[in-house]
Amino acid sequence: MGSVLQVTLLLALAPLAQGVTQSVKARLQGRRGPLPWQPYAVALKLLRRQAVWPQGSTAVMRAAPFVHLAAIAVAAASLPLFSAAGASEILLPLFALALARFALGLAALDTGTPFAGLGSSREMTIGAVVEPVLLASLLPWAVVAGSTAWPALVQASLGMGVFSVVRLAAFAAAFLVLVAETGRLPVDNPDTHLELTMIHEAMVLEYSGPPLALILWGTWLKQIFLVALVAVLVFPWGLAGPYGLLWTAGKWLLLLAALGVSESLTAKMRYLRVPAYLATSLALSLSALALQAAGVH
Amino acid sequence: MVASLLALWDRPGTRAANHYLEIFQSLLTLALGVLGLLGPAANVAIATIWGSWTLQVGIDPLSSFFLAVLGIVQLATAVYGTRYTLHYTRGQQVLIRTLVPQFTMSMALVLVARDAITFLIAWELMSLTSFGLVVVEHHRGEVRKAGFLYLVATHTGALALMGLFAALAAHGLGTGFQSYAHGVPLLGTGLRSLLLLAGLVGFGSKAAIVPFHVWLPRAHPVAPSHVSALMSGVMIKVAIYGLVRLVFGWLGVGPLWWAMLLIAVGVTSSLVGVLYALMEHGLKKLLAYHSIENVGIIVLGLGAAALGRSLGDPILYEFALAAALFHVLNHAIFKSGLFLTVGSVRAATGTDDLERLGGLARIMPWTTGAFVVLSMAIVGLPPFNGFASEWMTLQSLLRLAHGAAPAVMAAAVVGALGLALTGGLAGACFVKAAGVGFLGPRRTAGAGAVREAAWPMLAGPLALSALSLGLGLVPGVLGSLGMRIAAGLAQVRLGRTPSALALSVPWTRPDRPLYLLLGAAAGALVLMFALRRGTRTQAVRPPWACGGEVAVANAYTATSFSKSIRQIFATFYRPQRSLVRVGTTLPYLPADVRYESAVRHVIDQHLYLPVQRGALRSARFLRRLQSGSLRQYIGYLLFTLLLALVTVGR
Repeated sequence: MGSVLQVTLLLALAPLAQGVTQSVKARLQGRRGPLPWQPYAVALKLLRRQAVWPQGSTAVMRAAPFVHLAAIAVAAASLPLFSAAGASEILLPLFALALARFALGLAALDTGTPFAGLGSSREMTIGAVVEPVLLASLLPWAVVAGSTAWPALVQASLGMGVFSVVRLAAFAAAFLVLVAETGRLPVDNPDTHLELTMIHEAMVLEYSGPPLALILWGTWLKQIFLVALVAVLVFPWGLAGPYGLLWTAGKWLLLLAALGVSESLTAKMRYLRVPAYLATSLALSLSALALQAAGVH
Repeated sequence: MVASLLALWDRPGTRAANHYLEIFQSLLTLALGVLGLLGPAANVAIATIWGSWTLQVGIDPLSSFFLAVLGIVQLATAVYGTRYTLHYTRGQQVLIRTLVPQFTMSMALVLVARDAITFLIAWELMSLTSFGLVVVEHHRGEVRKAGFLYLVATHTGALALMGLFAALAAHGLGTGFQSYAHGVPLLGTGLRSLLLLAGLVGFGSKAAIVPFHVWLPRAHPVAPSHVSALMSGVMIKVAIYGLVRLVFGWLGVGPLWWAMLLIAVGVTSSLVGVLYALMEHGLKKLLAYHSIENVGIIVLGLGAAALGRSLGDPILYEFALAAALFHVLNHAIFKSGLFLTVGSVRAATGTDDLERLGGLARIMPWTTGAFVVLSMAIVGLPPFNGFASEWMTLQSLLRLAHGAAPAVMAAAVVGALGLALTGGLAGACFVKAAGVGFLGPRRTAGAGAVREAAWPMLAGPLALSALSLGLGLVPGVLGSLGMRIAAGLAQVRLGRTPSALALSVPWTRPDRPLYLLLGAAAGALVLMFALRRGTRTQAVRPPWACGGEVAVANAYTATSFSKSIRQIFATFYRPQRSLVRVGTTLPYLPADVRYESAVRHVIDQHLYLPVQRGALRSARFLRRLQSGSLRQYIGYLLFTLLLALVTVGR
């Protein structure tokens, strides 16, 4: 029951999180930008519109937005956000995110247009490299805990010094993956519709109306889920205390703002150099793991 | 089973009887497997007596498990084969109908053999019958070539196995499997290590682990598709059975490097397999490379189990071995199902080349559905079965890394990351296979005349898809079954410590994420219908292509889809490309452009090409002996006689 409430809350907050990042970005660029609740309006507008499907597309394209959203919802449900008791395995989100990616990648090829194919090819390529890197970013905690259950991981993180080298390296690694997985600069550009640079946007280009709203909502949910994941793993304090909610909200806001700042400071990277970028994250994770094995805390 | 075999041999013309007997045989195998699993203990029965020699067969949980795997795949292929074989010529049909039951029969015999002689006879039968099935279309040159390569590979492996059993006999352990189980662990570590290496070569060449894999991507695709399903789904698992029996049943607890070797071999196989699969455009060849990948994942699980046993952790050993066994079953299910669907595609369109297929979803919806579901299973996505076993393998590797010595931790981490990378690459590969082959615009293949497959050819793949979903939703049954088999196999009673079990199959943690998943799926369905009603005015329009019309040639092909992976892993692929402009009177206005690109197979070129060249060179040298002149042969005779006299006379 707790996890259902948790998913509902995250679903409700996901657009707001996107709006916060967007307005941070706008401020840094010297614009006033839209209000943080603009994404709700966007989704509402799309939900009222008619869906237009490309000729020749099949049930695969119709079903993909639902599979995408449901898979990410399952991932979001597995987090120990408010209490460790209801939490599940760290492996579940990994597999669920892979399912979400597979659904959209396949649906893109269903359209038969070169743009979607291009997006699908790029997304699946990056996804293939992201998966081990994402797993690696969880390793510093999972190996110490000797378990893949969330509560054990949080305990492992709590047992470590606040400003330990391990925590810093693990945070850097996790942040690099966070940027890649939320489709932000320098990996992907969420604001563009230029075929040379876009990845995710190209993949979903043929979607419109309510299905597009579902996809956008799923992507926003994935973003807030990943932010919450980093928050709970790397900064696990104050989960159960009286001000738990406040702490959590504060951590999320900081991380979302950090995402906006980092995106404003970086330029798009050439697509084929993304694996090198992800390898940096891998190296950081593995050094954190090695430091821990060597007894540094 | 023998009766069915004889009946088939006698009247190959009566089709229906053959089909029923084949189905009956598979049901019998399945029943034997299930009964063996339910039955109390291993009972060894003596089947035939030859003088003082007995050929022994028997059954125990491990054999029963593999028999059940065989039975499931056999049943699906038998039903499928009733229709699928019809597009072969009469002579080929007779060949297929005669050989398939013998092939499956010999696999069952390998599984129940309880002494070395029976095992080797059955093994050889299995190799020869499958060879016959590979070369069914022997009028084609490439088929003959593939068949020959397969024959060489399988006999190299058989040689290693004979050496293995001969070494055991030479050390006074006889030929009975029971004496091996008790006697082998007492042998010296050096000798046991040699036995392990011989087993890795012998069984590995059949299971197609890297670097003994070169025959598989050539031999499996040229066989009839339901035979490919049997070979990829079951035959390579029979080799895995041999490896499990050897490593965990006989060899006993070994040094750490055994496990490290298994993990290294597993990671290499899975990555090499999936990377080459990504570059393939022929669906059957692509699937064949994925067999190498999945065998790698199984061996990875075996390595984790061996490591757990060497470290004296019984739960870890049982869990990891259960993961490997579960993946054996899972791979048998989804791989044979995939081969069957591709067989339907080939039968309908005449090709399995991705660059010529496309748009089949609208013509063959059921076949496409099965292919998509089975693709998701092989990639390891929830809630299908591949997910459950990969989860268990991953979990045991992560658990191994906990508090271990640096070397063990490194091996476990490399194993886990390799598995994750394999999963990601497999995802890309199957988006390519399903997306380019079945979705999108129709390309050239079988224009016009393509129809959905007949019901027997749908029943097999659809049943396997349903099974794959079922096992993914309720993986606990297989998890505990595998652990029971593993516990029965361990000869050394490892002290079972009731420590907190940090390992679990999917969906068993508190709060039951399975229910959540089902809830999410139900919610999605409701939402889907709600939205469909809400937007009654759905429109279908041509897709956007910068204002122009989308041409079929514009759509992404398999080559373009995997282009960036080819670039990223260029050090592995060593891609070659050539661009030739034809008729260039003006440099920028060629009449035609010819573009070729290929990847180099490093292992083929640097390991096997030199061996092949050496063999041919020595054969050419030896050919000088065969001059054809009678006088020279008489000279040889005299020389040999002289030599014999000298030797004997001394």
